[in-house]
Amino acid sequence: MRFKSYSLFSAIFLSLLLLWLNVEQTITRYVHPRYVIFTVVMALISLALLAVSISYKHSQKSSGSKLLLLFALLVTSVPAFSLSERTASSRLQQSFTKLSTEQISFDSFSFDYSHFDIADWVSLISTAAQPSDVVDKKARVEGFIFSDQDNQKYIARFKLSCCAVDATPLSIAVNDNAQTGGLVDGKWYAMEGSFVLSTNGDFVLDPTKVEEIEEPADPYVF
Amino acid sequence: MRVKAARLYEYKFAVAVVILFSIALLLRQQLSYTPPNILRDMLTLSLGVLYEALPFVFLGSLLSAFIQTFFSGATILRFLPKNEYARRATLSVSGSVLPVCECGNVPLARGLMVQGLKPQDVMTFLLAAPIINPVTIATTLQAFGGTPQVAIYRVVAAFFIANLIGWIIAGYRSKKILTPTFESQCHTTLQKTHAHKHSLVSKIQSLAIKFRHELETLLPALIFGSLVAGFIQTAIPRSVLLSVSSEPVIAIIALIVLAFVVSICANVDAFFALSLSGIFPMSAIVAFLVFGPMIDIKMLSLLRTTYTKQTLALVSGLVFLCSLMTGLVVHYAL
Repeated sequence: MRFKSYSLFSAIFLSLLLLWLNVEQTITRYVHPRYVIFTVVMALISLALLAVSISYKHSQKSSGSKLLLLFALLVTSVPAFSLSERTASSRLQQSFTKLSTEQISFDSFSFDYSHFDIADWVSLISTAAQPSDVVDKKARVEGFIFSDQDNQKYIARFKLSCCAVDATPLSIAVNDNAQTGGLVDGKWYAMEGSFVLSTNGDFVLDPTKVEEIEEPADPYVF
Repeated sequence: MRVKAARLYEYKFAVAVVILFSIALLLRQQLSYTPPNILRDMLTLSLGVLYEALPFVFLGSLLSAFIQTFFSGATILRFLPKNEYARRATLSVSGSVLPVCECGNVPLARGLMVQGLKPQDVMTFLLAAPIINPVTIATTLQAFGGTPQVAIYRVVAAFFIANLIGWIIAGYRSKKILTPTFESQCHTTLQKTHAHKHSLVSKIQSLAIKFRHELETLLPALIFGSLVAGFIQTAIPRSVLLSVSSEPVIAIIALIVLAFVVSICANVDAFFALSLSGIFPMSAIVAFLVFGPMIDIKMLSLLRTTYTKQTLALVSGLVFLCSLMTGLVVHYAL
């Protein structure tokens, strides 16, 4: 009797891959950091039990398709990617809605916005009671650029609640002015500027300084 | 001799896999090609579903193997009411004791059925447990702090729908509720006597074998479900669904479809739903939060290892109708 252990070894492969993603520190491109420890623990338990099952001399006949092993090999050899500007553009409508109250770090008695990141600015914009809450405020943000159907540029980062499927783009509209030198969709920038009110009544970041940067190792906001 | 030859084959196979894994890791370090955005996003979305669900499937398989190894069906049934309605009601809230993600509940449910619980009772558990547990309730309250009734509607609807469907399945005249393979596994286990006392070592080996068996059964389904979920989300822009928010019934149906496609874990789907609350009415949000943990692409794929297509079609249709009704009741009556 020959054993076809493709399912078994795919399970071993994927368990090892989960551990490798943690070593490589790219697991958070797929899942929220709250799952990291749980993932590592369960992957280790799985490997231990699978090893015990192999050593058991009266093991059941295994079955499985070679496609499974091929899939496991494929996902192991492909580097970890983050979501692209294409997904951001298709989920733009979600980016302007109210975030959980835990996201709002704005202290109405403080005028120090130097610690604000893109999530803080989006929270402020979505909850601003009047234009003066946002207009003329100086901001420094980092993110990737994408465009909507009207070619309006946005600087954004994805926010994850659970895993990549629920990623919502936290977006700030940007004036593609002379200072930017032409913003390219998909590229990452560090941007400084002030907020202005557009003719539509939307808050737009008017950059005074733009610098192209590398995609950070942790591109998402959690 | 045959067992020895088989062992040798597996060890050789294991060495080959280790070598292949090492080569794959090397390729991973060397590859600098970035695929087109559509492929990149599909891969990322599919793997996001897979990597998030896999540890929970490990946990569910471990619990299932534990139950099958250390508990008899009689022991489990002793803890449950004899009356079928009370039994299903109890199973509906047992997610409070075992707060596993819905994908982890599938192997656990299989283990319970192998030990003698009826398919209709376990279906009630599968539908209710992802919602009626402290983690999901807490995150729902946290996300919708200003409208705590969202959590109440969600829990009440889940309890009612799960018990209603359990009752309907109980009266389902078709004998084809479970897949033949799984039904045969259940019968084989029930026929075994429990006269022999096993050592702890042999019980651990038995647990490992059962764990492996559950994983081998569920892994292909999980991978398939993840790939389909990633493909659909890439092929159909979310803006298509988000653009139909104005009319209440269409909005409810749109979010039910989104819940089916997006396959988010119930423990955190409230935060995702919150991002839709400015676009969709609360009735549609509630329908999303009720439908999603019960039925989605990934869950259907996992459940297909256990229940027949007819059963799943019936359950999916009933969950859809009940979720739609829940949304309409919230919109017009509450």
